[in-house]
Amino acid sequence: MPDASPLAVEAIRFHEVGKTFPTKPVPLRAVERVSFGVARGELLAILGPSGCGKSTLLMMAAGLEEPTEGRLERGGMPLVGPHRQTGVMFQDATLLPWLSVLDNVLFPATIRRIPHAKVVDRAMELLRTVGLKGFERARPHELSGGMRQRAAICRALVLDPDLLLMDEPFSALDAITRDEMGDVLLDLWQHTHKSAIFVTHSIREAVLLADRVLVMSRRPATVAEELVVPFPRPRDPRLADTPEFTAITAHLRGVIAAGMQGEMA
Amino acid sequence: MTAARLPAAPLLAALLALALWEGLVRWARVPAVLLPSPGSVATSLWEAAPLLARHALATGGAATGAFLIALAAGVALASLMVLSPLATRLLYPNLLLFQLLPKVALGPLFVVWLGLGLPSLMAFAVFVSLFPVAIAMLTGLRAADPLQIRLCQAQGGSGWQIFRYIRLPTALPFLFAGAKVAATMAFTGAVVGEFISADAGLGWMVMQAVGRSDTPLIFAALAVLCVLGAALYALVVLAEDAARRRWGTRR
Repeated sequence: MPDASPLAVEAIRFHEVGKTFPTKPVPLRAVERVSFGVARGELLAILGPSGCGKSTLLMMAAGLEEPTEGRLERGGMPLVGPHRQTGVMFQDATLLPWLSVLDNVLFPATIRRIPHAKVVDRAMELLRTVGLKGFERARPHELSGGMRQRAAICRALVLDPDLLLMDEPFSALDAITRDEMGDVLLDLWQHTHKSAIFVTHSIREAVLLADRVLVMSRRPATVAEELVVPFPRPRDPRLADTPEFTAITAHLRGVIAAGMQGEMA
Repeated sequence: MTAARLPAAPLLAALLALALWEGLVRWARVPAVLLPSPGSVATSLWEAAPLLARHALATGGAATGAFLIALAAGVALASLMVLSPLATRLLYPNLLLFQLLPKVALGPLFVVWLGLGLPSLMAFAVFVSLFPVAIAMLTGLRAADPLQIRLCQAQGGSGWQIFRYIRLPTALPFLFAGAKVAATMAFTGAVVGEFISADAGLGWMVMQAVGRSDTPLIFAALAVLCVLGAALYALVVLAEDAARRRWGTRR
């Protein structure tokens, strides 16, 4: 739930951020001066066609790419490099196949040189929450795609980040598992109130999960439309079948289609 | 049941071939200098056993030592190239070029540089077995999943941590593949080295036996070499199995 207080510091803010990759022969303009923020506790969905520069935005938020122009603020401070309180999730679960599920969840602690004993209880609790109790010692290849992505959620949350960055986290899953993962995420969400940016090309997923949706134009990415999702929480997946929901998704589909036509004209 | 019988099949085939060989040599009265019968090779093995054992120890020691040095040097070389882009630019093309060279032809050069004896022999054996390790390890270190590297970076992981936690585990199966090749190459290197510059070892024994036209002894030495080579190879396979059980993955 977005914190409405004007004094509240945003979890992250993009100030006129642009990004050009020095590709050859022609440099690639991925992002064109975008400005937006994510309030504390807000779940922001970034929606756009494939290859529009959404992922680049997320990589900059993660501190993995530097903006060419503009600047980023994280919790009111300039963002320099990967932030300790940021959790990330990719399109693929990206579990390390040679580690057990538990060791995978503890991997951020390994890299941050935090003793496992300090976070193992939290890791076990997270695994239990997402229904992976009993699979701690399993290897990733023994899990289904959905189970692997759930382990990846646990890994992203293990150090109790205040900002979660997700790059099309469920796009590699089948439709049914995908809905199920949305439920898992929503469920975890409603209990933890973290800030999050969620990149997706699924309109339905964006409206169902997010507090606010940014629709990006085709590359170079600019904000084509900003939409505050009017549905209260907790939300139920059946919300997607209501006429109000369908009206919003239809509108967003129109915005995206208009952007595509503009490209062709 | 079939699985239990399977290892016996190649053994049976080998025994059959030996019997055929024995029969042919006896029937055609082939002189032992040209092709000794398995029986006379066995006799030679038995009679020269203490001598063979002593020289086997020399060759086995040299080959195993060279293998271990090549393993360490190959891993170090590949790691250096992955950790330092400059090192890659300086070394990688040269490494590939050396890989293409018929390395055995360089054997006599080592004698020129290091003189006759163990140092030149070892250096040569290391030289021939180094490349399979270095190339395989480098390929493995470079095969790391970019997303896994990103994951590591997103937590502020250093280059060393990426190497330690992502690249190294990825490279392990590649390293074992390279080590298997290197194990056989180390024996090739050691024996060729003994042909050129040694006063001990099975390669040297073969040369001595050639001089005395003692063909059964040549075969006996070859048989011992076979066993030695297979033993080192088996050790690598055992180490690989242990590693797979410890960090095993089914990809």
